[in-house]
Amino acid sequence: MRLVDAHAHVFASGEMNARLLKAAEVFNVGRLYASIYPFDLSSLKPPHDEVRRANELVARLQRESGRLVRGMVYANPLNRGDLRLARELIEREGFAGIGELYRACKPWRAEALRFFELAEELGVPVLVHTAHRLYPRDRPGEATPDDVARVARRFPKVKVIMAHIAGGGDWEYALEVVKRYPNVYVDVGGSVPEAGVIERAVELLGPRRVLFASDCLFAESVGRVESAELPEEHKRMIYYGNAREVFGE
Amino acid sequence: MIVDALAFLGLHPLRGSGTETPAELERALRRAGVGRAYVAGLESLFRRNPWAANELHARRVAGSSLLLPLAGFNPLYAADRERLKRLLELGFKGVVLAPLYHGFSPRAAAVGRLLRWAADFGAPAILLCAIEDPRGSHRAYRFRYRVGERELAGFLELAERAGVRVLISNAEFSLLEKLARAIASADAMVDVASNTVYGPVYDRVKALAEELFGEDRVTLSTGAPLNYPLVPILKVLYSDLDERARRKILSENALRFYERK
Repeated sequence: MRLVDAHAHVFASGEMNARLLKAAEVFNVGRLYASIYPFDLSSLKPPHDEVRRANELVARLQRESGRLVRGMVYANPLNRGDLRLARELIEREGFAGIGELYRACKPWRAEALRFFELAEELGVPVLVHTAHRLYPRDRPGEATPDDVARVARRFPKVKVIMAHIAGGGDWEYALEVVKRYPNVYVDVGGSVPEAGVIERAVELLGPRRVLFASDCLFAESVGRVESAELPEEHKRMIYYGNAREVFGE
Repeated sequence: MIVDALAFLGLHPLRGSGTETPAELERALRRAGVGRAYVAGLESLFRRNPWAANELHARRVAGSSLLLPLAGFNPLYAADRERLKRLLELGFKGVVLAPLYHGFSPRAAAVGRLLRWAADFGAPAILLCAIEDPRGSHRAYRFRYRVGERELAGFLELAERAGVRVLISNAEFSLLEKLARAIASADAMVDVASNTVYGPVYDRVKALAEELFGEDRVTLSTGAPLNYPLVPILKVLYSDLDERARRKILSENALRFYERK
């Protein structure tokens, strides 16, 4: 069975996209839920036209990749037109969800909450970029685990994916904060190889709420799950079973 | 056989690893395919006085067929030439300097003296830039002694002057990039342990081995058991390097670094 990657990115560069597809093949990934790579945009708060073009690039790769890539809507909640764009992309282009909601604003701001309302209406998940760091400090506009918990509490029917639990920071705290919200899932992406994170996520959240994700770092994520001391059944759930439920495929 | 240039054993004072005995570490490393590992005792890196901790560490790994001991060395703590000689006689394969945890500058004169002694005895030195990603560290840390550009440049100068071989471990990729020339001109090796040495799609292992240092200068360190050992191994295995380069990084370079006389 092929892996399902709940959090990946499409790049502005064709060469990088070729590398992405090659890596997916090498690591036996059969599905990439991907939004535009945020650092390929002009800022953390890109204007609407740029957001539209970026999503069109993702839609094109979705078509050209034989649906190996499934689009996720990148949006800047502070733009007026991005909510309508999100609806179009999901309803007409078949995008699978909203996110990665990046660092334009906190997810509990009124502008961002409209995207959770849309996700609830359309029955799609929302992936929230989350920083788990303790040091040096939180950054403006960037979601923390407490922010994720806040929106998850407000939208209990929306599946909220807390991004890259291994992205650096205090993942133990992050897991403690979201464990009581059954609609919060964590993805195993990130660059930090610190041992224990996968086992602890399964222990606190249960194996059903942990999703395989690369965030375009495949060796890191596969190495993390393979190293984890877990039953094979739980690894299978992480690698592909849970994502099917979350994305409804 | 995969050779791990730097792993750890024992108790971290601020975190649990769940893998604290030699048998547990051996099992974790074997699962990842590692056949030999050079291992520092965590107690020797965190206690201000590392000497008793080193002796404990030597006894702890004495019966292991997989684990070879490295000594934590605090150059500011009653350190002298005889101390180093004694450690090497006990079977230690090299010395690990941990400025962040022992609280010294890697450019300090005391470091220069240690490096000269190491050169005299033909022993290698490892500069451990960090054990963990700083964003995940305990709030108690202040990072006064973080290894930045100036500190690493100074350390490389000392190493070159001493004529000692050194491993720059857990350095951030951007730091390695900035100091590539200085690293290349010293008798220095780098490892792939930092989380900023990304695997595919970015393939920074290839960047280290082809663009910056050459395939003879890059080695595997897993950082186990604090880190999942398979992560750096897969980064190397799936890098876009040829088989020979991968073999050097995963095995031959570490052996050459430690066993060269």
